[in-house]
Amino acid sequence: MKQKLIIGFSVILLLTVVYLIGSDLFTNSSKHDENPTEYKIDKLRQIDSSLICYKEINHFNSGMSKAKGLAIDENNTIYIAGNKQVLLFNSSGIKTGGFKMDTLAHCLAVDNDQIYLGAGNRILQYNIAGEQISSWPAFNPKSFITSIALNGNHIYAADAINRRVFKYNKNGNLVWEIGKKDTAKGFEGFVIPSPYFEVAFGAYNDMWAVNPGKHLVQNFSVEGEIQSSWGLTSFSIEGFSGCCNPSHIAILPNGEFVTYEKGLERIKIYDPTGKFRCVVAGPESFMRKEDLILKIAPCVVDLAVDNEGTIYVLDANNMVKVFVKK
Amino acid sequence: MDNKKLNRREFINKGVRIGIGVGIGVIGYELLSRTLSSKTVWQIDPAKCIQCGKCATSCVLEQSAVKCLHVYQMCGYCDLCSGYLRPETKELTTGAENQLCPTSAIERKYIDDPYFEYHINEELCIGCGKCVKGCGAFGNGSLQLQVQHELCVNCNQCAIARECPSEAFSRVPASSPYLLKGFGGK
Amino acid sequence: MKKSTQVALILLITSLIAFNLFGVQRFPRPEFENGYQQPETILNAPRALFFEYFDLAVLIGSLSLITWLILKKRSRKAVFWVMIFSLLYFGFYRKGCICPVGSLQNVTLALFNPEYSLPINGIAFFIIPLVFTLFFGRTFCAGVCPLGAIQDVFALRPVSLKSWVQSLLGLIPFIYLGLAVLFAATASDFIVCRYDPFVGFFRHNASFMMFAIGGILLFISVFIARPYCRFLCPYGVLLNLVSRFSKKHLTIAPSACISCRLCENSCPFGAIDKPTGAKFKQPSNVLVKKLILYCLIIPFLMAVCGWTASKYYESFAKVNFKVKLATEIMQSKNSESEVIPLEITAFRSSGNSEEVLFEEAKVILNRFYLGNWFLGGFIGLVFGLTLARLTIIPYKTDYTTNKGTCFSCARCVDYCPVKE
Repeated sequence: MKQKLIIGFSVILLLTVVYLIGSDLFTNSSKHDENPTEYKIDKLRQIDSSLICYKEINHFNSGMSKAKGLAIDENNTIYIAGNKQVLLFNSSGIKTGGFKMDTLAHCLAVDNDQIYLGAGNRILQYNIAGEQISSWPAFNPKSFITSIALNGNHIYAADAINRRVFKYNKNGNLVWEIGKKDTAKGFEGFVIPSPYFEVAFGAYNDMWAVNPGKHLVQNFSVEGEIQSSWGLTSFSIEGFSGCCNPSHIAILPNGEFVTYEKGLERIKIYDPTGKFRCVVAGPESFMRKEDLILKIAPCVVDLAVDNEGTIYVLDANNMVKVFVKK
Repeated sequence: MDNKKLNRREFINKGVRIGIGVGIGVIGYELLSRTLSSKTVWQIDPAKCIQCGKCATSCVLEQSAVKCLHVYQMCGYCDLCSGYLRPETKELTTGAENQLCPTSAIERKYIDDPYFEYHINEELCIGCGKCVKGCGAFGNGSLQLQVQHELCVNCNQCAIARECPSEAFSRVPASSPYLLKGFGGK
Repeated sequence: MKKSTQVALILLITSLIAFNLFGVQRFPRPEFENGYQQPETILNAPRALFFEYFDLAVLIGSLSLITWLILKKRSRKAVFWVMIFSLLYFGFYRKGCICPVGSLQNVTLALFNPEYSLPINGIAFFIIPLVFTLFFGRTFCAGVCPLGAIQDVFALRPVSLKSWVQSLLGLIPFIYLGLAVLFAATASDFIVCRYDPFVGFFRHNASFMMFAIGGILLFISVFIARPYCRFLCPYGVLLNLVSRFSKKHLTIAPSACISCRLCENSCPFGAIDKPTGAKFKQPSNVLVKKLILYCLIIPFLMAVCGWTASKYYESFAKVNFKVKLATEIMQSKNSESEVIPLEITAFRSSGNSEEVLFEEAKVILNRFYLGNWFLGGFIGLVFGLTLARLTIIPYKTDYTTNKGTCFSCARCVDYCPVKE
């Protein structure tokens, strides 16, 4: 009798095990448990919509696979550099021309139908017909040019690897370089933790360079001496966050700054003194809802403005988005 | 007569035995002629990882075999390290209330103005990936989650892989057991 | 427990990054003025390949030794000590992973998915015990398998089960095997590893449910010896079938059985076939009638079971990640729920196309539909054959081991008075 009891009990236990395994296998266990250690970047990416002062009026596909640089000339022609070519578009996004090159350029600047491109450790000059006019090596073979600006007869190239801005004349001769730490003159040097380093000229021929590791935008004289800086380190809307921001800037005809901040993915306007004014576009303009939670790669590749104050944004999907004031 | 029966049974047995032997041989040959690997181990592809925190909780080991690795070569040595500091932090100090890491496993060391070195204390790291997300979103992405092979028991079916929502786990050859992300550039 | 055998290698990360470069030069670290030395990222190498082959050598060595001990020495004591060694080595030292029971899934996955690269050790661990069984019976079960060993130590008060209970419960491993093959062939899951009840004890770590299952099984082991081996183990099914045709096998008596009945209750696994007595010596025309009957019943059973199983293919397929994800995406489109599962978020964010996923899920679903027909048919066949075996009992006069279910543990040998 006792033995039968033991057998019965054991067999029931055995069947319980089988049942446990079976139910665990076939019950749909899509657990949506809270992650106690979640880093909610979508919360940080929220923007008060009342701060948005621009609207998107147009967008077009560049048709390029690795679009890297965006520039606009005085006639409001749009130039896009990337995948071993440069393409030209008019302001409504219709392709008007283009040419092929041997190398992948990461940035470009245009003046008087002359196109200057930064391609790794070389600076190239092309005319609008696609003929290479000249080219010269940057500072050293390790150089990586992330931004080019033109002013008068000079070419300014930002070299993220050497942490210097180089000024060249039209023959490619070096005039000066800035970036060395000079505590006497109040310059701490550029802190550039990743390949985001911009140089740009304002409406009054004022030269600005971004110091991304310090979240500063800094003004230099044409002689290369530091004049002033602005910028605030903060995740709030007024400041810049993360390790290398603003990663791209452009200056509007009225002297206001357009900044792009990777990570939080926001494009903002600062007044000429560096005071936050408003937001051009928040992450919703470049990301889908699910990207807001997860996406960590930058969404914007370059920024440019035309002479009417329209803002053009080249995004990581090779699209150009056009924003005007509301 | 019984003897005859016995002989017949033995004959059948022998036949089946040879059949099974041939079957095993065919399966073995078939398997050997396919893609073979000498040894494979589990690893996370950082490009697919979404830092969901499941690595910290799903491993069969009490202390997850997944740890955060710091690729120093990719680090910007930032003062404002987005993998180390909580986003709302006002002061850049090492106070525990400022740290993103739930177990304070990241150690910060002053190197040279304005640079700081960050070191992962693997004894404390639980592999939650919070710092990885912070570093990836706002920084260079030098912090990456990887299976630490000294700890991993190399289960036939990795329990984290089954829970991973982005299918970031896969088996890789033991000869190159880490899948650290390279530097993407601009 | 830290593995002292592991060789920690410090690899220069630069060489690693070189593999992963996207074509852009690597960004240099800041310029430090105080001679700062950048530390290297320490990457510990996995267990060296040599040790994998060492495991293989241990497997072959212990199998050969135990086979010799069983068939030539006929010593239960020696078998016991080899079993303890295996428990310590494959169980507690190797943490239960690399085991022939699980390898059957790797082999299935490799056979159905040519892109899966199977480690050589996986093949060897699957095939070697089968080959040994083909020649010498289930000596692997006797004392090389750590899962069997851990239960065997707990077999303290074994009670014998009625043969029909044993046959009925013996159906479970066939179903388990069928499921394991189905899920492995569709690259869905390795359920045998997922529900390995004792691996948690080997690692001193498992979820509560796995500890509970393992604990219950070990508790049952006290009364029903080796419950996992007899009523769950899917690899045991293969060994059982192969062992029936083994060339040599453990015998209770070294020579002729004297029918003394001393061994009758010696087997804790109910693997000794008793003499049937004269009443079971059925005339051959009755046997033929029964055979014809089963020839009709079995295909019918197979069809019914296959049809039934095929009805449930969708819920079976949900074990597969891709099918589950595709289903969830479909459902999320219909519902307005705010909470989106992380899987869907991750999938959408990855930028992969939904159409491709749905296509893949469809292919897997079709495989499951077909697979479920096969699974059902297989279960039907096993049902039918079990039924047949319960009613057609071959006439026999001696006490012999049942070559299928006998684990060759050599317990019975000590009971047999025939020593020469």
